[in-house]
Amino acid sequence: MYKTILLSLFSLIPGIMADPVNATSHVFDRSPGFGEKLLSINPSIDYQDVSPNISKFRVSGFDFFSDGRLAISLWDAKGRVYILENPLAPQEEHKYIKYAEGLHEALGIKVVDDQVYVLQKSELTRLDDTDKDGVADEYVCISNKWDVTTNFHEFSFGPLYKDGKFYIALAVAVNPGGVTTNPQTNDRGTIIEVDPKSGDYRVVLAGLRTPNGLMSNAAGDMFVADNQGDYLPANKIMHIKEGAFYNHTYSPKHAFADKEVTQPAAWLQQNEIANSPTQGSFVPHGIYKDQLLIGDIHHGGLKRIFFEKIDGEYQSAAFRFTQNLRSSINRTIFDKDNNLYLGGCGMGGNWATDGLKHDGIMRVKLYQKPIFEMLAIRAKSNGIEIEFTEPIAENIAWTKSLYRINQWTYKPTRNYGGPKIDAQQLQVLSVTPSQDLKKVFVEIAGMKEKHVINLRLANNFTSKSGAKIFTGDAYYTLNKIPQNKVMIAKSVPSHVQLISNVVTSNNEHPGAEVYRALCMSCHSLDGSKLVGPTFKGLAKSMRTVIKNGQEQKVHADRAYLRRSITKPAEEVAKGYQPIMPTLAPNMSKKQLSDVIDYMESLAK
Amino acid sequence: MKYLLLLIMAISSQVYAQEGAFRCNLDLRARILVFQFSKDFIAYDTHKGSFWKYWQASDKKPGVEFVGAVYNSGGHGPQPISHGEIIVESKTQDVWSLGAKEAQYVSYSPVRKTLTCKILRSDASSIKIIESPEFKQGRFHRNFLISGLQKGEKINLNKFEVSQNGSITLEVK
Repeated sequence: MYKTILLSLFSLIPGIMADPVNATSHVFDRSPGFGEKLLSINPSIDYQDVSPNISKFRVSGFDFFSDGRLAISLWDAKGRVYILENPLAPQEEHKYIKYAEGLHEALGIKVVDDQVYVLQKSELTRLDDTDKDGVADEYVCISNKWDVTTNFHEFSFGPLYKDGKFYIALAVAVNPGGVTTNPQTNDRGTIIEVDPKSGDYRVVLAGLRTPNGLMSNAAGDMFVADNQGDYLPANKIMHIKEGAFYNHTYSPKHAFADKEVTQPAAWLQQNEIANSPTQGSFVPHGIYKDQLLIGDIHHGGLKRIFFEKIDGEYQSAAFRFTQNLRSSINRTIFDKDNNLYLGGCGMGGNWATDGLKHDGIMRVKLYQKPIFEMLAIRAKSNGIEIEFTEPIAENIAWTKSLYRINQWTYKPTRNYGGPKIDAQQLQVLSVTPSQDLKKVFVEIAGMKEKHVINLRLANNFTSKSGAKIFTGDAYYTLNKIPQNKVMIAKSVPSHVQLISNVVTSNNEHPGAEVYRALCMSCHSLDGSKLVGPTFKGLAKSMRTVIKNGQEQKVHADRAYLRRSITKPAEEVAKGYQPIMPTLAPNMSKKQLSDVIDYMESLAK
Repeated sequence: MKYLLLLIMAISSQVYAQEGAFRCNLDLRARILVFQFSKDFIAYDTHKGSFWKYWQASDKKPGVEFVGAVYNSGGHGPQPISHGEIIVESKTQDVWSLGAKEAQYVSYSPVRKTLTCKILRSDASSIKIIESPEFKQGRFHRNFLISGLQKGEKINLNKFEVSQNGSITLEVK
């Protein structure tokens, strides 16, 4: 009886009634999808693991023949290329042909006029089947004119193919540990355009580090993703623009390095929404049309990126999309029927997603169930406009305390990664939903260009129909604030009862925020090894450090933790490179104390 | 390295379908192609398609130790290294030439165990040289199939000179 009455009452006030408990809880507490990595599969998709029973099937490239067969290159010891003859058949009927083997770290494949081109570490190669027996028997060098050394990190990524030319991304050489090698051979860290007739190449852009992912949208614009590292304080997705310089540098300096640095179309904060972005695909259909679904090796899953152009230049909003797939996602491709194929790849450590397999093929169908989520974010002159997939509960839409905005920028340096710079919470001046309640204009004070806007919706954000929002955060790369898109804020209608009984502070440790701003890019909390030691169990343990060239045992007490942050070069944890920047200039005394407290709270 | 000119004959082809061919970095050299014949390994440098070395693996170690991120770990740094007795090693770029024009690497066949180079003339026509390493009675031979030579032309591989299309076999000692 009581239950019936309560349900009836709740239904009168959509939104908070879907989750009445949260209405009075800490609505910005962190949880998966709300400031934290997702743990689950996106409920709107149909997901299938269709991996073959072939060992170490680490996918490094996908492309379709005109008849629907799928060519697959592998990043494996045997250098194999397979052809999946019947990708649409049930998995148990899949027929794989080993088309080639013995290739050198192939990291991409392209089918042009039904001929297979594979990108080896140091050569673009055409795999010819001269005797028509279904297996390549002549591996033809299309181009090997770019300089190489034997450095393990001189990967070649791509290729893309456009207007008769191939586009290839060349990673830089790095030392064990991740620091860029100096000197570097010619034209590393560039996108090159290769003429397949002559094998000659020219440099299109420079300033890349580990550009494991080239993709192009329906308009023919090409993009490349890059991984955090030195001169990359966060991960990036960049528009491939003629003559651009994207800031990673080395010695001797590349000819493009004196150019003005071009801003990336997307900054993806390390370990918050990315770690090692890969090759994505632009969605060809439905409500995500022209958005990018992109994988990640260590952060895992897929992220969804909405792009818009301001003054002719791309910028974007990044959303979490899914996790809990079979493997890290290295390659993606849509077929003609809009099935999305995902290629898994990993090798352990931070070249994999913890707990997942390291290979395989997965297949995804989008839009199988409705989902309430942010669809897009667009920059306005005086704020941002969020578009949702469904109308929002009206009282939630109008309650500005349910929207939190943070902002920061980055300062690329020779140090690995980097902290958030100029980080601050911005004041939300007003929120104004559209008449159909599918968009909200968030008026913001203090937005700055060349900054990242981090939007956080409250945990109890719900749709008009009562659906809880799937993910509650987004990262908008604000290179430019549009000058001609001033939005008019409106007053809250009199019939709307704003939500007032929320606690917008959160209950997390004060050092956690310092950790996310300054430490997260290199130190995990879960025991996994990044470029720096994990914080899990670090405090109060015995550590082996290198000091003055000698190994020493030290107790990780507060004094040691303080020294390790303020003078990181003096005692370097054994097994790690001396690449930690001195963070003291970016920290207040309280922040230093808070983060040490936080580390101690993570002691065993 | 010594070559022994054995014979010039009409077109012949060798098929080595049962053993391996692979590409890798090796012994701090990039763009290497290796043909494996059981314990015998023949390496070429595909920058120009030049012969590099022939070595024999011992019973104790594999002829190539595949170390590196893609092979056995996610680790940074190491790359494949060869083990065994080096029988022949070219210290120079062992490249066919037509006057000042050097051959370019074109392709290889892991099925036929051949490596193809060409020498481009100024008019874009070319001379094609297909090399197939072979072991006869335990001895390493380099078989070449040459086509596209025009009357009066001579191509050289170091001190050896060829002026006719067809096959040539060099025993490598």
